[in-house]
Amino acid sequence: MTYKVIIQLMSGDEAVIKSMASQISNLRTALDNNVEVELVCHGQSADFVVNAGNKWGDIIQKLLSMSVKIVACENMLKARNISAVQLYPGIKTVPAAIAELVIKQQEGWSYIKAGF
Amino acid sequence: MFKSIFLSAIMFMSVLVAFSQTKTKTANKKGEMECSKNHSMQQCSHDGMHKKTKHQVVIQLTSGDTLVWKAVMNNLKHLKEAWGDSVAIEVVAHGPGIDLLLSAKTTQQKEIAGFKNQGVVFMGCANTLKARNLTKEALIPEAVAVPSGIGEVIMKQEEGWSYLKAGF
Repeated sequence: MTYKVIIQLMSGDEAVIKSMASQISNLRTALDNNVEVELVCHGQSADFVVNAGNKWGDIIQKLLSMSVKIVACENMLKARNISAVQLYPGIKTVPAAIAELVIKQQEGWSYIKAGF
Repeated sequence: MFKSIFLSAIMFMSVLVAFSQTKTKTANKKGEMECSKNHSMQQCSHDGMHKKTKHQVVIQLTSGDTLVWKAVMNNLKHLKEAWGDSVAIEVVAHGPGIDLLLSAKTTQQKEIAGFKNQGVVFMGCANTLKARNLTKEALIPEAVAVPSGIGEVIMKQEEGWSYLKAGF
């Protein structure tokens, strides 16, 4: 069986992003890489997903190389007039982050909220 | 002689009926648990075993930050826009989050009243109220009290509800 984890990122705060990245890395080590991870970005996390001026490139590259699926909320993008083509390469979108989190849990995924 | 056979037959049949009822209940309960764990209710073909609403979400609020409260209202708006009446939502406020539901502290009463009209349930933790020397009367009329906020969040997950932690 493969573990499935959905992680909610609502913050653009440096400490939150760094702890989220190390938690995902630790999670994979602890579960012998037998884990599928989806990172759902919404709320105040726009700076993390937009390509222009993005200072989290190293972290995003590392997550993508670990097959973490990174998705941004279309409601958040719309509220900030950001289009999907402006996202950091490799980052996808979902219509509503909050609904994605509910659906995945109903499908049996574990839920973890990034942050303190 | 006939009487005793007749009586034994009746007893035997009632045992059979009782047994089959127990069996049906177990099967239903088991089916429901399997569903909430293994697949989304949208994909489910045996509707009779599920509760009325397709989606069920419990939102835990522990923050007294008004920006977090606004974010929760935004979450509620998006969930209701996407799913309307097919989502059941409960907001459980405890710890510093209780302020959202206190008449003296909230900044969101109008929004809360609107969502309550759409069926969203707002719950304040009685343990938190007690720790602050407050009674249920301190809550806004749109909210109800639950004995334990954290207990409510756990029980809802045990019943198969999705869980969201409010905050950044």
